[in-house]
Amino acid sequence: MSGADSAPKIADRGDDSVRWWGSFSIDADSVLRWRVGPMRMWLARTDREWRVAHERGSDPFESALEAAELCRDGCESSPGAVRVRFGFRSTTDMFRVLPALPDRALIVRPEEPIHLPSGEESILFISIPLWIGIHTGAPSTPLYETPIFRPSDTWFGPPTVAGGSCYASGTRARSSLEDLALLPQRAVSVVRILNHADSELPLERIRLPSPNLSLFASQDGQLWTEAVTLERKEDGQSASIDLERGPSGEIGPTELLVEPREPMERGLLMRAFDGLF
Amino acid sequence: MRLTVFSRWIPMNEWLRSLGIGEWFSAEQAVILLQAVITLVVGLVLARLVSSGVGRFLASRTTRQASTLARRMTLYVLVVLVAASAVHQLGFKLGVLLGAAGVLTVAVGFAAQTSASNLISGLFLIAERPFVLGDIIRVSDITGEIHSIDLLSVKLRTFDNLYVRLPNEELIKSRITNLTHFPIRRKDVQLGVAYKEDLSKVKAILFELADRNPLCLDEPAPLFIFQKFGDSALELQFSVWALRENYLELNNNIQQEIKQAFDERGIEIPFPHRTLYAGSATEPFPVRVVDR
Repeated sequence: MSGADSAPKIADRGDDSVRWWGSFSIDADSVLRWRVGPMRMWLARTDREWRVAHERGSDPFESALEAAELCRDGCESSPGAVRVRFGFRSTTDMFRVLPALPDRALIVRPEEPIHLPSGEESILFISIPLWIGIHTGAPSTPLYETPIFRPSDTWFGPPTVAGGSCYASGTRARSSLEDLALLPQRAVSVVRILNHADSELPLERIRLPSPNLSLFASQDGQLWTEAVTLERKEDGQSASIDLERGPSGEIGPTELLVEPREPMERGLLMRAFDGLF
Repeated sequence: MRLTVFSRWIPMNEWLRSLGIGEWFSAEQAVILLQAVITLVVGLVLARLVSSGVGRFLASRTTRQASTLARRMTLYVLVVLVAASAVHQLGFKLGVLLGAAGVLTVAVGFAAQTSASNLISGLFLIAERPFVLGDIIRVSDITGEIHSIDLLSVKLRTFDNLYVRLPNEELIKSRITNLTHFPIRRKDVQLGVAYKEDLSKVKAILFELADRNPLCLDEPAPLFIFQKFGDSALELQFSVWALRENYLELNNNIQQEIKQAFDERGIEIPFPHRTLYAGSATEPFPVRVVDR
């Protein structure tokens, strides 16, 4: 549906995969459409307003992907779509669409519980649901953000203590990357778990602090977070989380796309063992 | 404070006499009275300003309840100080007054038993903190949001916007349910399905609904409980957890979704049944169909 005379300008990445994120431009009184997984999003601009509409399908693992298709007759948003309008003194044609990680921690379970003997390590590949964000103006400021598919609420910790509200990841953590379905609406996080304590570590669930992670894009258009290391300390009661500077080297060259929502100091962060496992 | 008589007081004395109150007040006494009144007025205004300043300072640093309490305590202490200072200016000796108050207290105490009890109960409630400002509590049949916690009573705002005053004495003695104390809540859906239904199929449908609903927490996991073989139906309980703020929405959503799913899959929720037997071997009841 894109016309050759007004093709959207997408930052050139040197290969063919479609990227739904990046810098785009839109003429006044025209509408661009995105399809990312189950989400369909429409973006329109007038001289004094930005308008966003979106609706979601029911299958979180739908793999549709279209970016910035110019919307002509017959592709308007349906009446059930969510619509938001933003008023401005004047609008400019440039805008950015960026992915974002969830605003709460993510609870992930391995396919089956893994038991880590003392001194051993395990590597898990985790798929994280993404948010889609629109940033307008120069310098670009966040305009609107919404999850591509609303993950299920879940709770981590005792039911009597506040602060345990998290999202469920929706997929299982896998032991090999090949088993993980790579989808445009999900980023991948590689988590290494080390058990330094004397006793065995039963791994039934992990709490991944998504608001502290960054997003990187590899050359094939897949989104990654930096590599994460979770260590259970010798005393068996405390654990630490360590973030690398970027995704692990096997993935190839990546570029930083989005900073963390809440930065965490690089290096060790001591937490109670119950806070991570 | 003793005033020496200056010559310029004399015209003032004459003015007061001309007003007709010269016999009761001399100029010195009038000035002392005026001073006391000014002390009182200025002191009360200052007390108000200081206490609201304290409240504002603490509002961003502590809970709403703590800052309201601090503001009130500051105001009461300052008002008492201002009143004592004004009384002292008038020339009354505070020691004598307090002595007299001691005797009065016994008399007033008998009369004010209920108020005193409410006051003490209030202090215990504040110390124990079964609820704080903004919590939603249920006391006997009244449910409402805590509007204010005062010396003698707690004020509630019910959901239909009525104002309820609960004496502290009653609260300390009775059972209070705080609906917003813990961060997550469980909704127990009681339902019955017809005896002919396959329970494992019903269970699968219910768990699938809970899984699809984003407000329903994955953990703690939903719970399926078989209650009993009821008179008319198999009585089940399906319990789902939600974040406290989403409780009402989940309550409505999940029950609506259950009804819809049961309708789509042909699961019957039966009306109460009564089976009629006329004896151990009953003949079929005769039925005549009438065309209307």
